[in-house]
Amino acid sequence: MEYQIRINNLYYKYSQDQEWVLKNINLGIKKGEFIVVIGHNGSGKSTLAKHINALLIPVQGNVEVMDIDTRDQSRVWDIRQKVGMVFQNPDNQLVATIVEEDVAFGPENQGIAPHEIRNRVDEALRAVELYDYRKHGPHLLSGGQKQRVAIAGVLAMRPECIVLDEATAMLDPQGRKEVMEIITKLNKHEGKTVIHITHFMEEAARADRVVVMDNGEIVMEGTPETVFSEVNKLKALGLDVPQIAELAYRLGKSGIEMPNILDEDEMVMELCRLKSLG
Amino acid sequence: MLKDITIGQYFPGDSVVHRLDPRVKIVLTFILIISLFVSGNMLGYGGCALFIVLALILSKVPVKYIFKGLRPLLIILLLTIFINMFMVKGEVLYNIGPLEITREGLTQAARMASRLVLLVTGASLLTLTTSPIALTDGIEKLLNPLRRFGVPAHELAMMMTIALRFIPTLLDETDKIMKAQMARGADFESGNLVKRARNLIPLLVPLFISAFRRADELALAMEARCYRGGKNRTRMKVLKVERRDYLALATGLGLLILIIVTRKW
Repeated sequence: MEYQIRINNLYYKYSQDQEWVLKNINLGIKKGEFIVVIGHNGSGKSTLAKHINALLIPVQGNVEVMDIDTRDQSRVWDIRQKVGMVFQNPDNQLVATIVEEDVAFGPENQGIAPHEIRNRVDEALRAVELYDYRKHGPHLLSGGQKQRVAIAGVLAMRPECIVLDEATAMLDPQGRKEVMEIITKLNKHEGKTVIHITHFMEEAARADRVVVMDNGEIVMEGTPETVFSEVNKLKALGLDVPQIAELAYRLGKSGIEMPNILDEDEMVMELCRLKSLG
Repeated sequence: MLKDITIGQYFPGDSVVHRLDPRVKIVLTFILIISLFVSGNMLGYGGCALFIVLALILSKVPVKYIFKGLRPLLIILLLTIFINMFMVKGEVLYNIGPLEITREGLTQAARMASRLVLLVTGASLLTLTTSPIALTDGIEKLLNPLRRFGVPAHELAMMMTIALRFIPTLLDETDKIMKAQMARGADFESGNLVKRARNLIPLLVPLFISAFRRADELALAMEARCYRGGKNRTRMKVLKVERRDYLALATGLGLLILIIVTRKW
């Protein structure tokens, strides 16, 4: 299977005399995958994200995005077009005073023809369900809406992959839900590769693959079911597990045989099945 | 309390004046200013006034918005009238104690007052009918030919856009920091000027730190969205000069010529 993004033996540090922030990272990401990266503060997950669209360049090893090496200075803008990035603070990534102008910012930088930009902006705003807000000022929107504008701004550049660098961290539960719904839709229906960095475990449960980072290294990797079944290991890393996984784990410990479940409905079904067995 | 500050008092609408090309409106405002300064008699001011009233009617902006813009001017206006009325030497009409009102003083006062009022009305008509973003666009395009002489047209426009974008954000933040510091016992309202200025330090320091952090993050986000300066950049909305723009421009130029011709009358 061909990887869309390949990270090979990546090492990174911010300055010469510092310790490694990232150590020996190896990761392959396929087209259309939904990957969640978790880890506590300072584990290097944001640093890793910035390597994927060449905002940071590896000190050792390399990162390849659709076979372009991020160390190749002449292709930086191609990489940034292919990998869009949404950041943590919704206020600090919107440039223009009107929503549609902000969404147009990316394509304008790429030098795309005006009528084509118009099409892309309308399409992107519809995809994030904010078309009716296109003439609004960003400061009048809620946090979740602002992040959706930021996602639209990335979509208007027609990327293959979207990296969300703790994009839900500053939102209220409602805003988080909106953003998660939009990125799930983009992943499932439009086939965009999504790399979502978060510390909300419930969000990680929806991924195709979960990558757990600690102290600059990848310590666990696999489907959410397998990763979250190792409750002890995650707790030793100072991480939580989703509620349902915790429940399954505790039931298992008290002698009730449970499969690896992360979904609430599935858990209800399983519990009902066990009950009917008596 | 900080919410009351409105910058660029734009009055949204869809009138002919609103739809005029921003470049044309900026140029017209300058023509008006020049007209007012070269005009030497009441005929010239009458022409300018007619032009503004016509634009005002076409723009459908309520007159009370214009008066609101004039209110801060009132003190300067009265001062100008009084100084001109009493200080200009000439044929004495009335005597109030040691003060003399002269014929020349009265004409001069009327001239200055109408000049000021027309100037401010014309300029506020520009900001009332042009959205900030259209205004920055217009300024960028007008300055573009000067780029050859090293005028950073795109950079200036981008700075203005970002400043406008962050005004509400920073006002919100100022409000928040003020409340947080007041909860810790800070006092922003009492004491003399020096003391009050010093009391602002716990407000300004966090505000500046946060503004720098915002600037840093914004720069990163802009780079991630392929921003690399004005070179090869396109715009979604292209400014287009149409028939109404030529018509408006012709009217303005006609006014200026008329005033220059009639100034010696």
